[in-house]
Amino acid sequence: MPDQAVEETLARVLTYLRLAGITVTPEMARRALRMVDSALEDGDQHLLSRVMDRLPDNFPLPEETLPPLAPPVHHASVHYEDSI
Amino acid sequence: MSEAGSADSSTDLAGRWKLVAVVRRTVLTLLVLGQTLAGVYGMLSVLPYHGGDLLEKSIVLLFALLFAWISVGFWTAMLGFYLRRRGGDPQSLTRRHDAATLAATPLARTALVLPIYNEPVDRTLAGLRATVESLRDSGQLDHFDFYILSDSRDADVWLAERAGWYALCRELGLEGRLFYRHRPVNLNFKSGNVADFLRRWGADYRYMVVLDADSVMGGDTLVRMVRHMELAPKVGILQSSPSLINAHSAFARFQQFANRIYGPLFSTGLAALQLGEAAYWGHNAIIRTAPFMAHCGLRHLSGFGLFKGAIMSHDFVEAAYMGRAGYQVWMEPELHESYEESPPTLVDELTRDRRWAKGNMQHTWLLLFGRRIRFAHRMAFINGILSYLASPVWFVFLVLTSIEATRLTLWPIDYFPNPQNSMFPVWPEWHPHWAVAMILSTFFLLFFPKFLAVADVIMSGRRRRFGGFWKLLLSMLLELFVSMLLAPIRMLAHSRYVMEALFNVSLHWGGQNRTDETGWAQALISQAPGTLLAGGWAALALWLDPMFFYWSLPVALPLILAAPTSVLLSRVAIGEWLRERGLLLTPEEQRVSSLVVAVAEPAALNPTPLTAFETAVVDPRINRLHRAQARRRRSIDPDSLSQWAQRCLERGPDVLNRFQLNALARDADSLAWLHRHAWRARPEDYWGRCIAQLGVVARGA
Repeated sequence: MPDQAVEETLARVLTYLRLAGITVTPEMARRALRMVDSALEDGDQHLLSRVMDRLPDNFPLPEETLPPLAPPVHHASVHYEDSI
Repeated sequence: MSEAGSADSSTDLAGRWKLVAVVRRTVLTLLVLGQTLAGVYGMLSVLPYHGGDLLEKSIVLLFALLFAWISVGFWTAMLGFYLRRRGGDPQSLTRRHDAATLAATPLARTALVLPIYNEPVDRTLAGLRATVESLRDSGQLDHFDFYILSDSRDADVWLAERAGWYALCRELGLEGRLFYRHRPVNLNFKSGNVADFLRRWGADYRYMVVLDADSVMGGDTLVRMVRHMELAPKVGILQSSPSLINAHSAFARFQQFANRIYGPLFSTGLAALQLGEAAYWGHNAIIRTAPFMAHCGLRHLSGFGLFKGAIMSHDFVEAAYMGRAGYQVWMEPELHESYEESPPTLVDELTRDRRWAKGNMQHTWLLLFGRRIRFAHRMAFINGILSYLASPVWFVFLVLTSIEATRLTLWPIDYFPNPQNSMFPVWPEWHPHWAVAMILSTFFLLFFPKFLAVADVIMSGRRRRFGGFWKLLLSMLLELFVSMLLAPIRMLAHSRYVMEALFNVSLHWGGQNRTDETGWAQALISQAPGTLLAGGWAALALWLDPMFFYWSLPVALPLILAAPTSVLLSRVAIGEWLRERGLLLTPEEQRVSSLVVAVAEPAALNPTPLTAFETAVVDPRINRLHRAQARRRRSIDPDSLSQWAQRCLERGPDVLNRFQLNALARDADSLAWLHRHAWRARPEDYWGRCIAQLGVVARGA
């Protein structure tokens, strides 16, 4: 398993965490590294996929409350005169 | 204040405006008729046979129409100048109540609606952000809700809009107050979009303020408008007169300067003539929702060709329907802090005019067959129609005068142009000094209001806001020159648009430039027909008679120079060069308000090197947002969606067409599947590279 793949996998995890709104602290980085290390124990085939599969279990992602796209609908009519 | 209980405290004023309107319109009609008759008399004197044959009768008829048209503009400006010098129109709606009464008037729930269609997202939402912030500063934000109503068809645009809405909600703390609606099917253009809003949420609001994609409005102005509406329950629409801001190219800065200098004169005059029967311009206006919903539904036209189907220019028609229902429509030039932007280039302006020409020509059907529409609103239709029809009339007038010149030079003199009416010969006469007098009087009608507008600025002590006396004067002369260069180009383009509209066809002369600046190749191609036509006409004139050649130059030369004019005016560098020298300055450029700054260089709401679709796939938060708002019901065969998603994963979104991309972007499962697999893509794959680019931004943040 080339080192480059491990580095890329770790970088991918950290990027995902940052984009998901998690501040990556040294402790977080160490946890990510442990996760990659643990995935490596199962072999180096499809490492990236296996690590990304394990990511939600290792890092609970913040679930921001989404604002309502629209308020409740109160149906009303637009009327048309008989003629133009 | 309830509508039923809020008796219009200014009932006398409310009733008197109708009488004043009749008087003003009658005086205007008499002045225009008198001036036109004098002009026709002068034209008859100029023509060699004094209108003695069909050709000259036609020339006189067209001349009368054109002269009356510019005469209306002239007297409207005169009235505007007179009223402004008197301190404003005493009949104005905004003068009915003093500041204390206004301040004591409670507000009512109002929705600000922003219908958009494939607009630049960051600029559009920057305008909305500025308006919201200004309302917050006014202390009255709680009375307003905000709706972004999108008809955009490209997934990359509406995904960016939705992500922008989300960012803006968080930034402004407007969760549950700022909403986003993307219509899956955009029936009936913008009016259909607004009607869709009204059917869903219109009953929740007493008023709606309609904004355009480039609109910005001040909070105090909005609050004032709501209060005026509360105090005058018979007012259905209150239209502000937007000023142009944020111009950079030379073309936009000329339009902005003209709007800021001449606009107040013309809008004050127009408002004084229309009073409670004004037009609605489609944006920067407040509308009473209940009567609008009850009376302003737009039926499809039942005629033929252009006159069949959905109404394209809805605003004038909605104002007419409001009037028909017994409600007033006011346009108030004294409502400040109402802004919009100019098209950056001549090409952009003409692209817009093409739509507007079609929409206004369509109003002919309503003018003729619309029932119970007020006379003033029929006049507004005529005003809109003539704004474009005047161009082909001018064109035909030039053709006929050329035929006249050709006839005089090449054909034998006809001593009996009307043999059945006269036994005596008619000797053709040519009085060049009368012709010069006619030209000068036409120029006077066209240009004197501009000098008067400058005088108004100087007399009201506002010249420093326009750069001082000399720079103001020089700017006006420059604008005069440029408007003379542009007039024949617009005339020819509008003539084409009117013909296209009337025959319901689309004639293409060449590619249209949609970038910020106009390129030489595109300008040369698109202006070639006009240049060739004008060159041929000038050559003919020179061959016929050198004097006729000189007469043709004011029209022919701008058309021959149309391509360089279009290119040079589109240049931002020239616009900025003029600004640095204190030319074409406007008050907003000098005393920059926060509203203007906010839209000058809009910050990206979601800074990313990726497209909106790529971001929707890759960014976990944005992906979650779009999945949460996506459809659960699948209207498309799941196998097709799977195939498209697989292709998108392997080769990126560019391999899919617009329909396929929209389908994936609207489907929660497809978005989730793409997100999951994109993050498992190898670094050298398409999505791996996207993630790497986004990773750089994430690390920077």
